[in-house]
This record gives sequence, C-alpha cells and structure tokens, in this order.
Amino acid sequence: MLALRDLSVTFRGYPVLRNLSFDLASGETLGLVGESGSGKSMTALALMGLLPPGFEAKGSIRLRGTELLGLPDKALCRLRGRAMAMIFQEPMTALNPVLTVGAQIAEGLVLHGLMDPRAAMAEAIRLMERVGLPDPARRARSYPHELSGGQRQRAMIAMAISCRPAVLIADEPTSALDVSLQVEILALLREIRAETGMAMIFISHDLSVISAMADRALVLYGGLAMESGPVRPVIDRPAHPYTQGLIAAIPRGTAHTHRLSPIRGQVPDLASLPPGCPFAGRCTLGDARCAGTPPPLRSGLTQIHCHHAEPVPA
Amino acid sequence: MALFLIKRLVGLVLTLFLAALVIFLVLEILPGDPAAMMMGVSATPETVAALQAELGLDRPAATRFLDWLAGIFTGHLGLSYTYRVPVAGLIAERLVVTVPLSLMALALAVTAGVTFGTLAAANAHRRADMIVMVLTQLGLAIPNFWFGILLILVFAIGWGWFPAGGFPGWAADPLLAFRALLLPAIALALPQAASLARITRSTMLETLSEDYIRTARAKGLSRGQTIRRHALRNALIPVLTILGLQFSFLLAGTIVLENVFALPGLGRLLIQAIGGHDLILIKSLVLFYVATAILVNAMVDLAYGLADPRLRVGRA
Repeated sequence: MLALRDLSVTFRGYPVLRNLSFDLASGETLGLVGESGSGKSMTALALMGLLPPGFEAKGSIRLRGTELLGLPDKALCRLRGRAMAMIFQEPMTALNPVLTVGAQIAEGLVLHGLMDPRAAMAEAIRLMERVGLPDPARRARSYPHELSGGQRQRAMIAMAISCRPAVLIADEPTSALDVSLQVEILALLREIRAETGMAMIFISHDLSVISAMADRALVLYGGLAMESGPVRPVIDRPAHPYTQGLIAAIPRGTAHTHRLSPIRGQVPDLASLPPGCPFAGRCTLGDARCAGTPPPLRSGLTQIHCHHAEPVPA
Repeated sequence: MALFLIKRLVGLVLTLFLAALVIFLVLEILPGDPAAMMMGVSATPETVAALQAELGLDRPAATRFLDWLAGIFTGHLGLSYTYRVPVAGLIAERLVVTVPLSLMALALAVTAGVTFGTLAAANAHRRADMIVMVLTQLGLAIPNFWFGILLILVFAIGWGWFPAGGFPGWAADPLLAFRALLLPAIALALPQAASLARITRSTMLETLSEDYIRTARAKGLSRGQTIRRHALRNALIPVLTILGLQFSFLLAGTIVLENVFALPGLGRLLIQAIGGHDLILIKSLVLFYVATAILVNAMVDLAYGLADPRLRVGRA
C-alpha cells in the first residue's frame, strides 16, 4: 500500500536520510528505531509532505500507487489527515491553545467533506469516548490547557483517526508521558489498529516499545537503514554491530549487578558524517573502508547495510 | 470572574482619581493667574480680584478640586474662561470630530497592519516580505503631520478628491463629513499601521513555527487555511496589548493632525485653550484624554481574556 524507494532527504546539501526503502501493507506496523538525529522524524515528515523549509526529498513515495513526491500542496492536502494521519510526540504543544478540543477533532471531518459541522462535533465526542477521555461531551468544550498530558495525547489520537486514515504515523507518541500512561496509550493504539485495520508507522527510540507494537522493525542511524526485517529476529538475533550495540545498551533491570554498556562515542552531527557508513567511527568492526565507501546491502533473516557483518541466514 | 471584574473596576477608578489629582496639582503649581491674563496688563488689582471671585478662584484649592471631581459626574465642569460657555458643552460638540477620527484611524491601522504583517510573515524572506518591511520602515520614519500635508497636496489640492481642511458637520452632509476625516485618519493611521505590521509579522512568524501549526497542516489544511484558522488568533494576542498602548499615541496624534487639517476637534480645542491660558478647559480636556487612554487599555485587558482561553479567570 505504501512503498518507499530510495528516499533521500538533504538539508542544505547535507544528507539527513540516505536511500531509504521499505514497503508497508494494510494492517501492518513498521517500527522505526533510532537515536535522536537518526532521521526517524524526518522520514515521517517526508511522508506527510511537511518537511520544514530548507529540507529536500528525492526518490519515491507511493501511496496506493500515487507518487507523493512532487505532488502539489493542494493535492497533498486532500491526502493529509484523510489517507494518512500523524500523531506527534509533544501533546502539550501539538494542540492549538485557543480552540476547543472538540472543534480541533471535528475540523478534519468537515475539511475532508465527510460530515457537516454538527455531525462532526457529535462524531468528535464519540471519538473522544472511544479513546478513553472521561465525560467527552464536556471535555469537547474544554481547551487543551484544561486537559492533562495523557488526555491531550488521547485527544491527539482521536484527531488522527477521525477520518479513518489508511496509514497512521505515530512519532514517539508516548515518549513525553509517564510509564504507566505509556502502557495505556500503547494498548489503545493496538486496539484501534485492530478495529480499523489501518497500517501504522511507529517511531520510537525505545526498542521495548517497538517490540510491543511492530510487525517489522527498521533501525536507522545517521540517516541510513542499518538493519531491517521482522521485529523478532531484529531484536533477538541482530546481525548489525549497531543493532547489537543498541540491544546491549538496554538496562536489564538488575542495575546493581550489571553495568550499563553504552555504545562508545557520540552521534556525529550532519556536517561530519562520513561518505561511507555513518556508524564507522563508533563501530567495533570499523576500518578505513567503512568510512569511505557506502556499505552494501546484505540479505538474510534480516537485511543489513554493512561491509563486515554477515546477516543471519534466512 | 465577578471578583476579577470588581478588582479591575476598583483599580480603574483609583487610577482615574490619581490622574485627576496630578492634572489638578500641576495646573495649580503652574505660574500665571487666569484672571490677570484675561484682564490684561492695565487691570487694577481690584478688578482682577473681582474676576477671581466671579470665577471661583478665591476659594481654597481642595474645595475647587472636589467641586471639579463632582462636576465630572454631574457634567458641571464650570465655564470656560475664554469662551464663556460651559466646558462640558464645548467638549461634547468637539467629540463628534475626534472620536470618529480616532476610530477611523484605528480601524485603518489594524486592518492594514494585520493584513500586511500576515502577508509578510507568510512570505518571510521573499519579495513581498521585503517590500512590506521597507514600506513599514518608511511609515515609522515619516512624521504624520508631514504625511498629512503631503496627502493634502496630492489628494485635496492636486486632484481635488477630498477637502483640504475644515469640517462641514455630520448633520449638513454626512458623506462630505466622512471624506473630510478620511485624509487625516490615513495620516494618523500610517505610523500605527507600520508598527502593527511589524509586530504582527514577528508574532505570526513565531506562531507559524509552533507544533500545533504542523498538527493543523497534518490534518490537511492548506497554508492559507492554517494561517486563518489556527495562526491568526494566536498571533494577534500579543498584538492586542500593543494596540492598547498605541491608542495613546494615536490620541496624541489627533491633536497634531486636527491642527494640520483645521478640524474643530478636541485637539484643536486643547491647543486653543493652552494659547488662552484657559486652565479650567485644559484641566477637563487633559483628564478626558487620560481617561480615554486608561479605559481603552482596560478594555484591551478584558479582550485579552476573550482571545486567550488560558487567561480566563474562574473556569475549571
């Protein structure tokens, strides 16, 4: 349904995303994993056609056969919110402070011509009830500052699913919330996905969240897909040194007996990324060839971009 | 909410009282006896004293102050020294020029300022933005009395579209009266529109970088729809505060422009009153200007709560 081919994003000539390709089928969830600055959010914004000024996307993004890159904004406006919707990370700032929550949820339904304003408001209240907002009829008349962080994120979800999009992009939807709320929101997203059959792109820096939500995982680093494949082998039997490092760095819960094992070094900034593998400077297997030549794609149980590591055979 | 309004009201009355007191005291301290001024240099001390008694100037200052305060509520503000008619009547007949003039200028300034400021922000760092920035720089730099004279030269004397000055009165010819006020209103609005455009541009740019703007775009709203439905109201909240402050400058501007355009408004009355040492008239006129500025700012405070739900008091 959604197909990315060689999607590259540059910012003033610096690569932000390099030749990203993946497919997404209806009802499937792809987990995008990576550290800050790995290009996860830029992938989401490129999909929505909402890259900030100065960013440029090349390659191909096809949604149900329609090429999105190069589509005029008017045509994209008809797709945004309708065919694909997005949930943002910061529920505190992602809602308009001067409009009621109900009006903001109903807006998309009216905009896309699905309902008249009165019916849209009734539907907004129904959606608010569905996402677990208490006393939805009253909450619909509330302003965002009158809601808690968790309630705002529920309202955000109601807004995103209002027009029954085919693809829902969730960019770190739980990262700004308490752990107990995280679990509730993830459960809610799973329920809604099961009810509507929509495809989901779930972005997180947290591998445990990805393993709970995704069918397939794609690990990004420095704008390049390090490893991708079905979520279990990516997490249980990672082949790429970066994925292995990420998994080794997860705290085990027995903090006193185990030392944390971080990946050594720092995430390089955009301007100093090597032309080859972006992980070259921090990798245990890295050598001169790694930094100079882009790593080849190797396929096995998972797909990896690496000069040295061998994928686990399928 | 009720408590909030009562607090505001008490504050308002206190401010107005203090303003009245300061105005009274300053004019009291000022040298120059109005009775002596009116009688001229050849007057004898007896005739001056007689006139002082007639004008009530021989009574203690505190009594005169309290009388004046009471007069503000009853409308008995005394007789003008120079015109020999009640001050309240003089002010009332001039209000029909100054109030419409200020409101027209305000409407022009807000419309032009918000429109061009939004246009500039929507096209930030492109040609339309540059043009607006250069024009607003000019608008801020040009003194409005000079711009008023320029307008008279071009549109009144040159092309004859508007009267060059004077005011026919609303009753005689409402359309002509409106046209007589249009050029001075434009001149008055120019610097206000320029600074409002610049402020709107910067608050709009800030608003457009907010997360909720991206949310609105992700919903499928076009850039224009996003600006109109989501950005404008947020961007105008800070503009509203500035507007209240600017209104004081606008009022001060009417004093100058009424003289440039020979309009029989409050500003001209004030200049004439100052020229004639008509202290009793000056006192009430200045208080009127101060009260208007204070009331407009109080209204802006209330409007602030309407525009921004986060500032509403007493809501759950």
